Amino acid sequence: MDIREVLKREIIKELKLEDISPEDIKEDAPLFGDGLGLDSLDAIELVVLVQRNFGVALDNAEEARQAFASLNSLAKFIESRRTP
Amino acid sequence: MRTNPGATGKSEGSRAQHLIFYAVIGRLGVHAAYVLLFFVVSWYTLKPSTAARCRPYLERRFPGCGGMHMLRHIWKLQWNFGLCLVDRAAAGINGRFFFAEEALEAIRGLAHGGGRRDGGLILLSAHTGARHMAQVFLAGHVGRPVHVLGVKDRGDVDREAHEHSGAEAPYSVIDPADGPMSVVRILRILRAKEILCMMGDRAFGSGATLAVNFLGEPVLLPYLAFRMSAASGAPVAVVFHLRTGVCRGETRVADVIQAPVDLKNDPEAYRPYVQRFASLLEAFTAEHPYQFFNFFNLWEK
Repeated sequence: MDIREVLKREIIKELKLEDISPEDIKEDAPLFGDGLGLDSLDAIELVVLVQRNFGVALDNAEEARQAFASLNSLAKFIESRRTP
Repeated sequence: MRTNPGATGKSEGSRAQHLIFYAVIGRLGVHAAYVLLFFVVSWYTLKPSTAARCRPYLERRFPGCGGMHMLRHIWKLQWNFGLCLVDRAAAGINGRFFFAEEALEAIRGLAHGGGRRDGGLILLSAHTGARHMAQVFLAGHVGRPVHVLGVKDRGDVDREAHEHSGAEAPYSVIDPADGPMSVVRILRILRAKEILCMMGDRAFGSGATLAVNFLGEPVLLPYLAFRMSAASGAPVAVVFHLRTGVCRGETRVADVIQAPVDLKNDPEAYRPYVQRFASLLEAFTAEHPYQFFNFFNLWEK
């Protein structure tokens, strides 16, 4: 399954975004603030779910800033860090 | 991100008034500054706006108390707060401060893993006693890098001890205004088995609080520390800092709480831990009522 689809499904499940369906998550919209509207505590879940599902650690704040820019950015970050 | 409503972090005195204190400490010593402090605290006790900021806490800590008795409580709370500020300045100006080492071994043991596979340590504290000097002391003696979550309010003109000499802070400061990036930094710190100091009686950010009972009524306290604990495996050591004498301080470990690592993103799951913190803080205020420096209405609905 495409990383974006897995991310959408996991974000909705782990962040308990009950009123949102995968189709509602715009792949180029910001994840935090305007856009999907996630907050700091959601960032913990996001870091944990990326580590658990893809084995990728989000350790560097600057890299995380870029990765968290949108779902597409996060998917690209995971693809670039994932071991085959 | 914002703190609790009503909590400004703004200094009561002006920058010039602080400079007078620094000059007195530098030229005449800390005891001369205490004499000056006596008059300043007496003035603030009679100033309605300042006294009003003390009342929400003191009215719950000493229920039914009023009139002259309440004025005495207000004076003592402000006096102890002032003593901590004078001592902190003296530490920076004269290098004079002694911190008891009793809790250091326990904190050092926890920080070095205590046999756990996961490392890191969260020191969860409150606005009590000689907390600023405690952070300086721990950073210099615990043997692991120390980081402090929080940012100085723009209206806070009190200098940290190291600012008097122009030295670098012995700890790094993580600004909660960085939002998700501050969370990433914290998780990295804990994975690297380093130490994070944060406050449990003041919320940074909105919505990340739970209602728990404190001094007989509900208050909103943050659960970020326990969520971080569950995400990283790092235990939460609840510590309270005390001023124990002239330029003397002490840290006490009240409890060590480990949120289970599989605890999920459900705020309700964290309520027992936040309540435990509130109960420990309440016990601290029973023992040291004038060393909990709460100057806003924590109970405001």
